[in-house]
Amino acid sequence: MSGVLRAELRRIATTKLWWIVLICIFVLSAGYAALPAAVALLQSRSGVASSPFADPGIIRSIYNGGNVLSRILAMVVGIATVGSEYRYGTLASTYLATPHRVRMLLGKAAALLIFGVIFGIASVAAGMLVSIPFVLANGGTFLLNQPETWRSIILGVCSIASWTLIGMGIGILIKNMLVALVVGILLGFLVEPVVSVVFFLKRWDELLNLMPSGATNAMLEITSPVLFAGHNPAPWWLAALVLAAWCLLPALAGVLSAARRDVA
Amino acid sequence: MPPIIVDRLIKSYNGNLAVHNLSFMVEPGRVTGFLGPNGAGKTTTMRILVGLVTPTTGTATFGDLAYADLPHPQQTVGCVLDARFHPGRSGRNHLRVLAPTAGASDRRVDELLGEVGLGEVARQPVGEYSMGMQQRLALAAAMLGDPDYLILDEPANGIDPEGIRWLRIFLRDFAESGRAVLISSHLLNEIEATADDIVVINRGRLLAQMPMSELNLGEGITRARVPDLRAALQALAAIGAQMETAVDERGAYLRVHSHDVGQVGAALFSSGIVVDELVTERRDLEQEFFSMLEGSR
Repeated sequence: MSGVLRAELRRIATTKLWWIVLICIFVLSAGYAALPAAVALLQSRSGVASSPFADPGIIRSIYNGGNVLSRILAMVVGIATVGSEYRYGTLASTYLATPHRVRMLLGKAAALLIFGVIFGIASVAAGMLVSIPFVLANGGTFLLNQPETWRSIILGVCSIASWTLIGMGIGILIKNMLVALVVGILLGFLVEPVVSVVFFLKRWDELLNLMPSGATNAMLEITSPVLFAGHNPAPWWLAALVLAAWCLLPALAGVLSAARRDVA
Repeated sequence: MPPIIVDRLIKSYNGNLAVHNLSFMVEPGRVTGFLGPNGAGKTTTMRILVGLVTPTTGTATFGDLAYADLPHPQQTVGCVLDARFHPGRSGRNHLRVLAPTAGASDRRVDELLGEVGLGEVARQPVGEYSMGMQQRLALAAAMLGDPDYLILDEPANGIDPEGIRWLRIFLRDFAESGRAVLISSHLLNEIEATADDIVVINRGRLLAQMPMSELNLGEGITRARVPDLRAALQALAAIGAQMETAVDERGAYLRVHSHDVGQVGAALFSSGIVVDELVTERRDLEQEFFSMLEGSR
């Protein structure tokens, strides 16, 4: 197994995509984290909230501000890692190296999760950096002495990492990489958010909790209105299970289908 | 080292038989040429052998073991199939991705790149490689685990003549060390100088499996074109040669049942006979191949 994992780590590490995505995640996460921070600042100036930069929900929203975008980029890496094997016809040599297909795909999933954790850390690190000036300037607190904050940070990293698996599943099920990327990005950036906003506005909280973004928000226990966090979020552990199901189902379907397919 | 055994292999795609009840063996210590026209089922057979395609029935194994059951597949079998690469990855990194499962170190990777003559371009993206360089990279990838069996599907495609010569020597050395080579081609003369055995298939069926030496190449006929046929007949009868006269578009000539051009020439010379043409007539391998295919219809 270790050989398979090392091979798959090298496969991802030896193309440019991962570090381009890493830089994008860091830079864009900083921008996305500034959004809930700015809203909180406006709320405090207008007197809506007394001290938002001491509110755990708001602080966690800033730390995890990049999540909404980073998870999509993590998914893109998942799609491209599998999709490029189909696109460039390298799957045959990959299977020749590891003919036990399920083992190979598990190695790929593990390698993607490891890179996903790196993406997650970059995203949360950007969010935490952005929080520094806001918190210091407004007499807030970083809440780093609270276990809930760290749970939110760690789960935030894990949630971004697990979206690589959604990508892997889509990449296997839709063999054309470009179509898979378009479908994945449309679902992640358009369809899922629009449906979630509808559920949010209609206050269909149970349905919202079942959506990937709703589950993520509930799991991270964030409350910023810009992230459309539900009014009645599920407990964090239940939300984590919902999210895990979203990630594992396409990956599982992909693994099962790829394990049987002839490689032409 | 056991042979490769293909046993009653059948592969059907939506009712079309790509491989039909195919059985043959590939012996260690020999280069086996796998011949057939395009679409004969060579690639499908090879892909079944290495587990990329599932057969409908039958088996293709290395001794008793299917490719997927080999404990160390890359250390046992090296494959050059369609030589496709991620264009953005360097040649060196392509090998480094395949190295961990082959038990190969980075040093082995660099050694191999040198051996196949890619040392200079090792860190350039494969997208910038020529066809011939990509084929050599594919061969280096196949050799990573220092395998006992080599399987090559049409490796001569896209290689320059020098590369083909190099490959021929490489495969001969590989087989002479006691290991087995299975190499496919749709051109017989491409394999003629390399193969010890040939397996010929068409439309998924076996037409022939035999040692190259048994392929009747029509050796032993010397064509002698002389102005004076009678004098030549006498001179050659004196050395006990069997012969007959034949006619082609350039006129009559003698077909002498001997492959010893020197002996025939010396006999004609000592009788003072003028010779216009004196050659060994070899039936073209391609011709042999096609007559075999004709017979299968």
